[in-house]
Amino acid sequence: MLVEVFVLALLASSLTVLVFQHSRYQRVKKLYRADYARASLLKSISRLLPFMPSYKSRRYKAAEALIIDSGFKLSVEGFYLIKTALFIAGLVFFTSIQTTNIFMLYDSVINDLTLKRNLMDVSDRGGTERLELEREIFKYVNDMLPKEKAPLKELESSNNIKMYTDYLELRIGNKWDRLEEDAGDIAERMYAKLLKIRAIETDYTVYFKSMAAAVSLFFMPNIIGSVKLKLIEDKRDWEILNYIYVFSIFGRLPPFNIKNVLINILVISDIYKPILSEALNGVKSGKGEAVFDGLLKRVENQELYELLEAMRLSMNTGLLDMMDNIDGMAANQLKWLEIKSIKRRKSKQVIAMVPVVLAMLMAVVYFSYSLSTLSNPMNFVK
Amino acid sequence: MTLIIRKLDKKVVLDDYKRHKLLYSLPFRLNKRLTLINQKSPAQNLWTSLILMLIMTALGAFYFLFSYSTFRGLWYHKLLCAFSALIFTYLCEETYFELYEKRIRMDLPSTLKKLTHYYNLYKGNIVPALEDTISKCPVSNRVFIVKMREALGKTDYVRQIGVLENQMPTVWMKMLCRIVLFAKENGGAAAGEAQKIRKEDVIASSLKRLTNIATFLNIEQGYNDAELLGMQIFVFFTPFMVIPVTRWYNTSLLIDFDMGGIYNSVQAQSLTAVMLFISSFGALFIHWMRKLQS
Repeated sequence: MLVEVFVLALLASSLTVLVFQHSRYQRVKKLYRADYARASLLKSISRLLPFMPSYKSRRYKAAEALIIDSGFKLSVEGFYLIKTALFIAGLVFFTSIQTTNIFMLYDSVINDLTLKRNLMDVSDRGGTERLELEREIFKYVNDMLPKEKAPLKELESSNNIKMYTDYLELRIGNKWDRLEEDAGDIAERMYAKLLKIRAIETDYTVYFKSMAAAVSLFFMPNIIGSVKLKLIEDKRDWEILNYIYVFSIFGRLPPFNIKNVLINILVISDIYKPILSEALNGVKSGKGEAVFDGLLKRVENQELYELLEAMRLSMNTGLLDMMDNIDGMAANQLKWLEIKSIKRRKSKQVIAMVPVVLAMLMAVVYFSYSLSTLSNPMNFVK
Repeated sequence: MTLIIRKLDKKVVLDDYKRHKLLYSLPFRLNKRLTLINQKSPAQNLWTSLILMLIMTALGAFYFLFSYSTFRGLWYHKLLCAFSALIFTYLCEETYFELYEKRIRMDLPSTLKKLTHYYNLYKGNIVPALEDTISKCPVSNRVFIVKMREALGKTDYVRQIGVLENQMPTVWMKMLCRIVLFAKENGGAAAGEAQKIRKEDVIASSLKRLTNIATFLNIEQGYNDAELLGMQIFVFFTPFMVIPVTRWYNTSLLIDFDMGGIYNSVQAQSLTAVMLFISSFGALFIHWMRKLQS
C-alpha cells in the first residue's frame, strides 16, 4: 500500500510540475521566440531533475559526447529529461502491473476451493453459494486474526500451528453449525490461506523488481546510444565512400578547386557534416591549411583522415594532379568495404538474432503451455 | 479541404505544419514523403496521403482487434495490444515507402547507363540526351528525368535545378542534378575539347562513376539488408503464425479432457501479450538496425 501511495504521489507531483512548466512555457513563448522558450523550459526543468549532472562536469561531458556521436539531436538537459520521464513512467507502469497482479493473487487465494484438497474432493464445487461461504469464512477468520495480532512470523511458527487451527476449528464450528464439510478441514484450509495472504502482504520483492525495471528504463537512452554507435560504423564507412566518389567526380569539373568539392560533398553528408562544414568555412576564410591541420588531429576514422589529408595536399599540388590518387583511393575503399561488410554482416546477424531467439522462445513456451497444463491438470482447475 | 489545398498550392512549408500542429503532422508527413517519391505537388498528393493514412489506420485497427480478441481482462494486456498496434501501423507505412524507394534506387544504374549512352551519342548535348532517356529509362526513374528536363528548359534553370535537388529522394539523384546542370553549362564545350585531345569527356566519365557507385551500393547494401529483412519479417509475423495454429492444435487435443478453453487463463493471456510485445518491439529494433546501416 505504501509503495502505491509513493508512486501515485510521484506521478501527481510530476504532472503538477509538467502543467506548471507548460503554462510558463506558453507565457515565455508569447514574449520571446519558441526556440528560446523551449530552451528556457528545458533549463528550468533540468534544475528539478535529481540525477542531472552539473554543467561541464565529467558526467555532463560524457553524456554530451554520447549525444553528439550517436546523432541524437538533443541537449544534455533534454536527454536527462527523457531518462527521468522514462523512469517515472516505467515505475508507474510496472508498479501498477504488480498491484493488479497482487490483487488478482489475493482474490485467487481467497476464492481457492482446492487448497488442501485433492481433485476428487473438488468435484462437488457447489457453484456460487459455496464460493460465497468460502469468502465469508475467510473474512471472519481474517477479522479474528488481524495482522497486528497474528503476524506472518507467528503464524509460521510450528509451535503455534496446532493452537491456531484448533482455535479456528472451534470458532468456525460455533458460527456455522450446518456445514457440509468438517470444521477441522475448513480451519486447516483457512489457516493455509491466511499464511498465503500474509506472505503476499509482506512480500516487497515484487516492487523491487518494478524498481529494477524502471531503473533499466532510465538507462535505456544510454544503451540505445551505445548500440547506435556500434551500428552506425557501417554507415560512416558508406558515407566516406560516397565522399570519395563525389571528390572523384567534382574534382575533375571546373572550377577545379577544393571549395567546389567540399560544397558538393556537403550535399550528401550526414554524420560528418560538422567536420566538413568546418573545413569548408576554413577554405572560404582563407585559412584552409590551418583548419585542415586542426581537423587531422581530431579525426579518428582512418578513411576520413586519408580523405582530409588528400584535400589538404591538393591545396598545394593542385586538384587535377590528385585525381588519379583519389580514384585509387575509391577503388581501395570499395574492396576494403566489401571485406568489412562480410565481417560486419555476421556481427549484425548476432545482434538481430536476439529478438529472433526471444520470439522463438516465446512461441515455444506458448505452444507448450497447454501441454504443461495437461501434465498437471490441477493448474487448470485452479 | 479547399483551404488546405490552396495553402499547399502556395507552397506552404510542410515542416511548419509538422512542428506546430500535431493534428496535421501525420497526413503531412506522409504527403511530404510521397511528394519526394512521385514528384507530384503536395496538393496533388493530398488525397493519396489521406487515403494512405486511412488504410494505415484500418490496418492498425485490424491488428488491434486481432490481438484484443485474444484477451479478456487485464488492462496492461490491452495497453500492450495498443502499443503493438501502433508499431504495426508504423512498420506498414515504412514498408510501403521502402518498396517505392528501393525500386527507385535499384533502377538508378540503368537510368544512368542510358543517360551516359545518349549523352555520348549527342556529343555532350544534355537536353536531347535527357529527352531520349525519358522514354528508355525504367518507369520508376522516369518522373525524375522529366523534372530535370523541364527544369533545364526554363530560363532560370540554375534556380530550378537547385529547387529540384532538394526534392530528390536519394543522394545520387541530387548529384545527378548537379552533373546535369554542369553538363547544360559546359557539356558541349567539354565534349569538344575532350575529342580534340582524344580524351574522355569529364561529364561522361562522371556519369560512369556515378553508375559504378550506385550499382556497387545497390549490391552490397542489398546483401546487408536482405538478411535483416528476412529476420524482421519472421519476428513480426511470429504471433500471427503461432497463436492461431497453437490454439487450434492444442484446443483440439485438449477438448476430450474438457480443457478446450485453456488459453483463456490469465497466464496464457500474459504469454500472448508478452509474445505480441516482443514480436513488434523486436521487428522495430531490426527495422532500426536496417535504417542505420546505409
